[in-house]
Amino acid sequence: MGCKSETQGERLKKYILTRLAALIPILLIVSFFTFLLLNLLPGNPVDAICNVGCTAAGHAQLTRELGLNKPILTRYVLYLKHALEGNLGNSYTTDQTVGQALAQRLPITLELMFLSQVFALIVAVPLAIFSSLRPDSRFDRLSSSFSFGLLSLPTFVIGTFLVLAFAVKIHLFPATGYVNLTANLGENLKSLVLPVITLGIGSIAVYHRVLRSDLIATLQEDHITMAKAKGLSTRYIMLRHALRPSTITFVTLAALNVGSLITGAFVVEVIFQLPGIGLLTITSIEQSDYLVVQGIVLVTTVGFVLINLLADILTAVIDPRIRRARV
Amino acid sequence: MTDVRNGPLLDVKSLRTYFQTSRGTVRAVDDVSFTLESGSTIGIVGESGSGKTVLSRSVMRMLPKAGVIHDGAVLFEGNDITQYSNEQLRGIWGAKIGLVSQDPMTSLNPVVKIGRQITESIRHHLSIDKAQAKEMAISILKSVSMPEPERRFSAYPHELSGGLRQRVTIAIALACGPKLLIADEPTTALDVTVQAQILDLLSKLQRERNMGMILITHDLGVVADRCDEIAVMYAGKIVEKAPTKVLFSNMKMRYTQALIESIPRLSAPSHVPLRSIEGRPPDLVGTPAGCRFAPRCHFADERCRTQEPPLMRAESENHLFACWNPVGGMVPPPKEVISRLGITPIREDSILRSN
Amino acid sequence: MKTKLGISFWLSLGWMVLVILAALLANVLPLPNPNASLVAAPNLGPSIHHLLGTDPNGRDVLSRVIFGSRVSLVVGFGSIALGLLLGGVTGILAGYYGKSVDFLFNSLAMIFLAYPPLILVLALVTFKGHSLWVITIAIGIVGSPLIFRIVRSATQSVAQREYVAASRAIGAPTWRVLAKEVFPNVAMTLVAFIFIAVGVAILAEAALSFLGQSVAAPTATWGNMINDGTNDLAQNPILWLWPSLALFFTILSINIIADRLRVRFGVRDSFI
Repeated sequence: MGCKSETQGERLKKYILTRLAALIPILLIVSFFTFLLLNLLPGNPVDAICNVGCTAAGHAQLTRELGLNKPILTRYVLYLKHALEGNLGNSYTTDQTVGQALAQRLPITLELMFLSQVFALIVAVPLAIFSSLRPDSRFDRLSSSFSFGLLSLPTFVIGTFLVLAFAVKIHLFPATGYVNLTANLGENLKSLVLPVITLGIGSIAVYHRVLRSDLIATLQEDHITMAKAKGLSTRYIMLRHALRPSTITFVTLAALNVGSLITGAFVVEVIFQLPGIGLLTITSIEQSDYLVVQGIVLVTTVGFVLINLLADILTAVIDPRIRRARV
Repeated sequence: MTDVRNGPLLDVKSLRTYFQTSRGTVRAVDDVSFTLESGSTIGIVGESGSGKTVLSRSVMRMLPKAGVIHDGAVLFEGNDITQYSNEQLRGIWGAKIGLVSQDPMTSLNPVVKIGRQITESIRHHLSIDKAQAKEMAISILKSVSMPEPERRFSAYPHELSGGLRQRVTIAIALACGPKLLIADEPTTALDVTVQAQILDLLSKLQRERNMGMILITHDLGVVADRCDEIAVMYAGKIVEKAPTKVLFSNMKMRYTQALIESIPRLSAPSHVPLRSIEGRPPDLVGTPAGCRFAPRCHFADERCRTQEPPLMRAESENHLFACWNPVGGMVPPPKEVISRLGITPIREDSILRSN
Repeated sequence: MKTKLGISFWLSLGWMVLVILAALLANVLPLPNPNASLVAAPNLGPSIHHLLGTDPNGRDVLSRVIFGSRVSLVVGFGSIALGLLLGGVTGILAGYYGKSVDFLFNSLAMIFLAYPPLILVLALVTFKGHSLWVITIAIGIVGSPLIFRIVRSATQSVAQREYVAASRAIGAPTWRVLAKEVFPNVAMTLVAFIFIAVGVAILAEAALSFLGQSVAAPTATWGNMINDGTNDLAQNPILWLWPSLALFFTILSINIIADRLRVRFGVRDSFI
């Protein structure tokens, strides 16, 4: 029996507020841990910045400049205070602040990741639907084996192959370079075709496999038989009754996939020389631009935590049972 | 479709449904025939695995096409629906034939509101607008005695108890005013206390709306006073079929006898062990020659094991049975059943003599 | 019912045995030094002397592919062994004892899991250096919270079963219950997962190599060979293909072995 004092909407609101409140300690712990990790590791950033010919005096001065002689907790509080004011420090190698660098690079990576997921969904969902309507048919077996194979294919192998096929051999799309979204939308999308396909293919395999087995399981459930017994069409049943519970699986899965998507995006940015966060990370590491690396770790981690939280909330919105179970 | 027709609401003729599996052909429904008039109820009784659920799906033609062999005819309102296309079938499912399934915990979509699960059928078949459909759905919820129907309309299934959920599935089945209601073990998954309520509700609605109803169950006690006629299924075949009173007072088939003996009797002294039927129903792949019940039957002889008994006519009207060594006398049904049906009990020692 | 492992399983196992043997015997095999330049003319096609040809520096590609497998295998198996040591032991303890032990380890795992995996590996590698051991340890550390979560939930379900409760009830010492009752059952569900994890670790190392953040050049790794190959697409368009094929068949074999074992042990397919 339903709980009489609260409506569904109120319960959902309460759930979201609880989760948001829990976010603050999580972010504090994670940011402190990041700080600790990067500061307590035996590899000293000063060593990393200092070249081989660094004198002891220069070493000490750099340590003072970076504030590394203060106790760790003080440094963390200071860093956090500055971070909350939007100040993540300055890059050693460029005249940009870390905040500026991130603001410039982040949209490119996000656009790449977003478009790749759209592409993956457009391909994977119909494949999964057709597979699940006739499990074990020739189409199903072929597409399932294909997905299984794709799972074993690293992003950079796919990317290299696509560059060779479409950029080197037939000059259809540019191999490298990026045109800004605001400068020219058409050219922007054209410059992203190969990167988006490269990054999306890995997700297609994951989504197809999981959605397929999820749909097959759902289609065997009693409530689908009942929907059939109402005389509803296969199309309606698929869209309204079978796919909807699977969106829960999908949201959970997509959130889990973000980790490997970030890895993939970094690799894709290097292959196609897209000036996103990934390329920034690699160049910053190569140039020992320590504060930039720290800023990237902090921002991507916070973003990652937020995406997982968003996925949880979205799941609660779609699945009415969860609100009750978790609150 | 015009309703000018002769003959019964439903006429099932030599229906066969075989599944082709890697182990061989499973003869799940094997030459089953029965008829059902509007306003009457037939009970189909059998152990799990006897083919009763497949029978209900075969009557609706709701089975997959691949790997399934169909034979026989299902005349619904005079039309043979085994010849129907998928499109035609979808026109009668939900509209003219309603299905109430076994487990209300799984037969409702957990992420779709109850109201929508009722109105989608109404709007699909009757092409009326959203507001009217909602009104109709709420009045149907009222007719299945759902407390607070307006509020329940926008609730999710998990917010309701099992008994209330089964009322929802009944409401869904009734939404478009079907002529035939198929209830497949409608109370098996429910608490004992709720079972009677749901069965009474089904019987009441069936009478009020003059529907034909197929009530499928493994529990002969359940159908005893709620069916006009009872068909006992064993291993894919009907082994005995008779009007309810006749079946209880004059059963012929040894399996029916065993089923009736296994109904728990409240009137029996405590600590009397329940009689159960030894052994298990046969594998439906490569069923043995002879009577399919023979391996578990105490009365089986050589003929039972080699020659399959056909459905034979008993002395009373509409009573068919398949048994070479039929029950000569009468096995006393439980007192509860006797009193509910108003059968004159006979003395128990007469049976002992007849055996 | 026993399911057959199938021909694909045995082919995959055969490939893995071949790769492991080649990696072990690389020094004994009649191969040129993988890092020696100009053992022949640059950018040669496949020939009898150099089965996979040479790269733009005139290095023998077959030799580099075989020596490159060493990095993949050491990181793949080494990091997961470390992950099992860290995540497996804590997972069994947390799952078996529950309460504060569970809370402590689980909170720690959740902190690690809050990081995107690559970011954490890059952070560790950047500040600790690019040696084979650092890479192995970094990937092992990043993988351990995932292993912890899986071992923990497997242990929780095993610990609730009657026979475990029974041996606790008759007063068997804890270490004995863990070793004799809990561990064998958890190991059953883990076997398939471990293989997948090794595959993921090998892929992670390859991605890191491709990004130039793994073992430093000139040591050959499949990832940095592919990266080199992409820079030479114009002169030598098939150079990237050999390490790519080696990597693909290795990961495919591991995935097939894992999948067949999963079916054999009746473990549910989950999205790992």
